[in-house]
Amino acid sequence: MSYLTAIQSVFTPGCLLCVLLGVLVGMVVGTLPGLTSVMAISLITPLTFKLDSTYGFAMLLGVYNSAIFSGGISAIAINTPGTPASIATTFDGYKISRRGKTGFALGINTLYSVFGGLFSTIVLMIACAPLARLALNFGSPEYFWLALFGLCMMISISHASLAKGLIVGILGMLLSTVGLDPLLGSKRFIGNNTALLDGIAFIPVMIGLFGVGEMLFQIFEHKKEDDAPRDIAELKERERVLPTKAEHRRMAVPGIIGSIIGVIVGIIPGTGGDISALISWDVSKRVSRHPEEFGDGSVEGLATTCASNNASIGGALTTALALGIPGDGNTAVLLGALTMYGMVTGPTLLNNSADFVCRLYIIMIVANLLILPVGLLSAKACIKLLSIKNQYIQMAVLMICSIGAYSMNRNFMDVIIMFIAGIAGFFFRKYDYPLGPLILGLLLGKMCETNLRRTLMLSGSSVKMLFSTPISILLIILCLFATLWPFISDWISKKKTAES
Amino acid sequence: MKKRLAKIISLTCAASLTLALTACSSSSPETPSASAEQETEAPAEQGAETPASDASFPEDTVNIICHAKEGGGSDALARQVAQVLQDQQGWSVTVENKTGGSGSVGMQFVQNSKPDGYTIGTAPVELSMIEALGYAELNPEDVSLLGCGMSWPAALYVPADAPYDTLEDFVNYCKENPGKVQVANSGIGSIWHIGACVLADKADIEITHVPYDGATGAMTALLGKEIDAAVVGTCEGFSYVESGDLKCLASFSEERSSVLPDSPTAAEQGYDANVICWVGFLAPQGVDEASLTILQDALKATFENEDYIAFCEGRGCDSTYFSPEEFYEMAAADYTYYSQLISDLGIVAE
Repeated sequence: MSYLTAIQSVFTPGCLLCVLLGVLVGMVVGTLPGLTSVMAISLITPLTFKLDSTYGFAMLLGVYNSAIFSGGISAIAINTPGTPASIATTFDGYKISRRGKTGFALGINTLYSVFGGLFSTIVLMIACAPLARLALNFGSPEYFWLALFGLCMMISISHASLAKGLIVGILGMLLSTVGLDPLLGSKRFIGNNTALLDGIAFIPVMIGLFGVGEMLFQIFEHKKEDDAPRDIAELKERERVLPTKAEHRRMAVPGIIGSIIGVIVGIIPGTGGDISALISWDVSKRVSRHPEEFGDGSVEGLATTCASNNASIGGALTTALALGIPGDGNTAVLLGALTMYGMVTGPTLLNNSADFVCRLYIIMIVANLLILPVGLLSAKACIKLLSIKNQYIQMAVLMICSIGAYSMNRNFMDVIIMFIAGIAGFFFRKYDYPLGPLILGLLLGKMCETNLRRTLMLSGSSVKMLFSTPISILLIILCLFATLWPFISDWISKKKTAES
Repeated sequence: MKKRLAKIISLTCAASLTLALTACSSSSPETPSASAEQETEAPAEQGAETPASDASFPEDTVNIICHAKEGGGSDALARQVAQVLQDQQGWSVTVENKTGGSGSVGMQFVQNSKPDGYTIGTAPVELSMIEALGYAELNPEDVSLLGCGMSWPAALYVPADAPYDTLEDFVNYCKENPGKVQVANSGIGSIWHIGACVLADKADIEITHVPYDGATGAMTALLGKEIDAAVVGTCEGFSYVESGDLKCLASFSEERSSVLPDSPTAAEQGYDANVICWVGFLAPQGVDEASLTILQDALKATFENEDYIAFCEGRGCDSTYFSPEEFYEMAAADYTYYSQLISDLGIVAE
């Protein structure tokens, strides 16, 4: 019954307007690289205290969902992840966009983000409390294996040349060691630069490698090509936003895989949409009938990443609501907002504020449904926007990237880091070094190191603890599978050709 | 056609730039949003009882530099204070995050900014620690403290089914098993790491400190029973005591915490361990007396505002007001004690 009253209180003009407003704000913030969803939510939070708690939360959840979704817009349109959660979206999304099918890619992003969001909301509604308790089984050894599993993906991401992929991947891991030692507190590779105590800022590096690198590449390696559509059929293809039935059939499985992995990774505290989208991309590639298309404009690859990062929202809310454990910055601000509305966050929340939690579920559904029209309309607008001369786009992107890197911390050092990363990104692209492994190393290197060392600290330097739980064993099998898969698939295909 | 498109893109660029600047609540007065904000607040300023109507400060936007990133408690505090200053004093206030080095980046930025009173910042307990930790040459003497209105003590948490019910049981258990008991903290050199060290120091026990990623990481590990105990803040764990997942053996404060009324203090149990995490406000040295007084009074009024008190209570923190002098005294005492402790225990390996 409480769902009925929850629906009643959410479906009021005021509340719906708040969600819509949140979705629009989230879209602006998510699309602009450097402005993260955490930033947007914490800026808006004090303003919502003047509103009714349902209205306030409606706005915040609108921002959260929409920012993660629209991070994919800039990933697709300009190869710059709007938020770290859409790093994996650049792999295929931008390739599709470069073929002139930007609208189509944005359409997929909208549809599958909403799919992932709704999927995770349903999981959240059904199994919030028990799933969150399961997340507590995830200790230091499990985090280590998860990070290692992520690092194993370097193999599948560096599709052109494994050696080149590993070179940049290890470079990424090395860069992740800059900063304070996580367990001893001693300084590593810092010199006298206080700004480096927390390590190399991730977001400026990400914006530089992807966005600036790509734009520099286009500017300096510019080939005179006629971009104009050749006939009416192609023009129509360029203006198409919605996928066909056949395309949906191809994307259904990757979409579901992405959603499931998104929820699972989202539930684990400290991991979120960035990691889940990368893992989903990797898993979908392995089960796909067209793995060769992955990284080269595969609709399956795009759909799985879009679904996955939005599905991680529901997962993150699971642990946040059921245990009061914020898995990331977004949920931390949301929990802070809940306390301001007079609720005690923690394991008692689900019982003591059951009505509010019901309303929250309904808001999640409404927010996702509102993304649908807003996203599809914006896709149409984006096609028009990107049909102008490339030079204008390149300039605008460089400008937006610089502002984004600066606004992270109002620190000019970050802009410099971004441009250094951009120049590096240019050369990586020119000499065909893949970027994915570098980002993986940077993202997971420290997580891998810290948790391995912490495990050894907890066990008194015995490695037994690393192999002691079922989750660890499962993750080890996944790691082995990920590393050995290329050899296995080679062997299978050789056997097949030998047979025929 | 081309011209129209060029117009569209330039307009979109302009719009996105404006939005970007608005979204970061830029302090530059040229942005339309900021000037609009000031306009709307002008009438409120006339209507409100401004305690310092004779002085002209502030004529411009006051910028609060927050040492921690968006999403944390200190960021929420800075934004709450900004909100109350706007509502109550009619000032125009923005918050900027300058993060890194356990808060030293933000605090040093304030220390080196123009001492006109328009740049102030959050002053976390790390102000008393970063010098000893070797992150930055900065201590309470180097800045001008404005007052503090948010604090919460450390507390020792153990799983609900742990074999000890009091701090004494725990200490005895640790003495029987020296070095065996693993205690989680919120990161090496963090205030709760210091808290665990103070406990070990005062109770004369040997424990293994295991750093986690923030208080959240430590709590998650304790709930998952990866670790035997955790020292984090009262407000970071009280809800798990309410839900029956954890026990709190002691809070490290002079009086019992309002969120953990059933948990005795360490002093009650015979151990003189007081570790308080505080977040106050600071300004660079050299701000003129008149402006400084206005800032201090405005913050005092903020800390007594009911919205602010509700904010602290909601988070399980104490909103007791420390005047600039009291705040300085507390920060200086912590500085002396923690510096000694950090170098004695060799907390930071080089």
